[in-house]
Amino acid sequence: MKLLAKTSLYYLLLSIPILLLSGFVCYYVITKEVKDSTDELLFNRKTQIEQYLKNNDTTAIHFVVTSGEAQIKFVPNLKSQSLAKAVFSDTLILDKAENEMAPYRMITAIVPIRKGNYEIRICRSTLEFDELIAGIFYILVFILFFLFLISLLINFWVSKTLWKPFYNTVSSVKEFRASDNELPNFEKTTIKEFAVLNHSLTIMMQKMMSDYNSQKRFSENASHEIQTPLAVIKSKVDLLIQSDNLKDYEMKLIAGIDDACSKLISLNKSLLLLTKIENRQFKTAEKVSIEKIVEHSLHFFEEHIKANKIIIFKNIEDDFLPTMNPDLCLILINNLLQNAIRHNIEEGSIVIFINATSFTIHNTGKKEPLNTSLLFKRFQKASRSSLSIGLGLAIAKEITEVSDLWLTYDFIAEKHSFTLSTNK
Amino acid sequence: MMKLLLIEDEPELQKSMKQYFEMEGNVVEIASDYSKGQQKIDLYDYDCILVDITLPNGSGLDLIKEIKHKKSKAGVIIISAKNSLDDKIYGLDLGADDYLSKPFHLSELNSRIKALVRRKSFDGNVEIIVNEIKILPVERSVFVLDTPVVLTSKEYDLLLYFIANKNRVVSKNALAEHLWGDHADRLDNFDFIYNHVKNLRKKLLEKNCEDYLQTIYGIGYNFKTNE
Repeated sequence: MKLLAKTSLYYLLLSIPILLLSGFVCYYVITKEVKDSTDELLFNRKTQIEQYLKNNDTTAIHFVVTSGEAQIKFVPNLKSQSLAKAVFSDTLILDKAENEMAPYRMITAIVPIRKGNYEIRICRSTLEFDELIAGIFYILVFILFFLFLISLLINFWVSKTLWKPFYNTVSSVKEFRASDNELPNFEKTTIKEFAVLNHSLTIMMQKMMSDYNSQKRFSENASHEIQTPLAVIKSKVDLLIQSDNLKDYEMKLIAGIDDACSKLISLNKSLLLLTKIENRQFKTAEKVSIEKIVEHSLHFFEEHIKANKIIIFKNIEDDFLPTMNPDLCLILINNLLQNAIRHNIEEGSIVIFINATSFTIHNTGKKEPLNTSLLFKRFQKASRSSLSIGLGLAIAKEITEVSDLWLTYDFIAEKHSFTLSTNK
Repeated sequence: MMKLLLIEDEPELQKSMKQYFEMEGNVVEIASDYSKGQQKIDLYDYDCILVDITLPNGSGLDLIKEIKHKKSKAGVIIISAKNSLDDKIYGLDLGADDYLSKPFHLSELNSRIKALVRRKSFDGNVEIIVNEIKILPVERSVFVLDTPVVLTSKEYDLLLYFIANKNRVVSKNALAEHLWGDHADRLDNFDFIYNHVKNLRKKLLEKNCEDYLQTIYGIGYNFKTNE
């Protein structure tokens, strides 16, 4: 749920008790006001009728009584204390039109006129409470609905304008890669929170970039510095094996050193290659014919294919011509083919498909899919083959990344399949 | 006998290379920095000059310019730890004949030097003769006692490599690198080397060639001509 939607929801939920409370307040205020004004009206009327009585205005009195507005009664005996005091009361009177009891406000006053006392009683219909409650309820519901509508509009507008810098920041952060060595350009914002966010993110990214660069420089320098001592070891081994009278036991030791040294050298070279690819040092790019490179690779691995009795099937619809560095392309195809040979079974098969937008290589092998999350990571070896250094697929992946290509793995019909394509 | 100049700043590598090439009776001179290299290039003639690119107080690439400026006939091989494609292309453009990235096998460097010197002399139109074996490098053909031996491309490369490094122990790692280059991830190349060597020996023996190839247990081979 969006933050805005959530806040609006809370606002709406909170506004319900407020509205209810204001409904009660409204009810009491309205009834009080109505009562007060009715009472005032009744009192004025009473004063007027009292005047009619004093003036003995029989026509007016007659009209008042016959219209049913007031009842006037002569009261002979009366206790003195109830004199002159007007009493207000609520009463229910049967409304003949609607045939139901309706609330009335009534004033009862006993006025001394000349020698006698008269009781004046005036009734006036007042508000019906259930109607009032219903009215208030409708108003409240309308207000709630209106609030909801307004909050929707505000949400829309706020997320369009107010939150825009935030969404911009998020999308820039998504695109950010420390290896690109480029800070995203955050939009200038006057909103303090977003400005703080952008500022902190910039600091964090700068730190990430400098960490990444120093790490990269370190591994680069380390690899370069390792080359020379390795060259020395290698040359010394080459000299050592020339000595006469070496015993078999000593030869075995030297062979061990030589093998380990060769492995270290090829490992180091692979790491240097990876660094160079990451640094985008292979600049030239041109249209490369995958078909030609595949032919070249197949020729290169001819003996390995024959020795493992692997059958190669080729299905070439059209040549795939990605724009990339030709040397990297050769390394990429070589690594994929080598991978398909190395992890194949005896008398297995390799199927190569090429069309205008992709290159796919299937191979028989282990009858279970590979772990895709580790597949392209460095130093991940599928087999315990000591000959592999586990960088082939990592290099292949890195090459596709700098060349704007996609490399994906699938396990279809017990075959391992790698696809190189121009789009996902 | 060849006269070599080695321009390289790492003392232990100097020693190894000097020792390896002097074993064959070559003369090896050493320059450990730019200015010493410059002096030697000015004063003497060499068959082959090995130049490191990163040198104290100067670049090996500038030395190559000077060698070419002098119109020296010496072959030039760049030996560099940088393994940079740009350097390689630039160096070869300047007139270097070959580029070998460190670390390398001494036997590999040796075979490159031999091939280079051969190419430079008589326009490469030479025969390589080792006792009863005769090789015509231009045609890539091999004769034993004047009868042709049909070899596969890999067998031929192996034979040439063995002969360039004759009477030396050549490690199987050096052979693998020579035949397949230093490819990122290695396949089981040693078995193939074993088979190629076996076939090569068989083909030579069939033509009544002496058995020169000795297997050195666990390490590699020695093409022993007993000179």
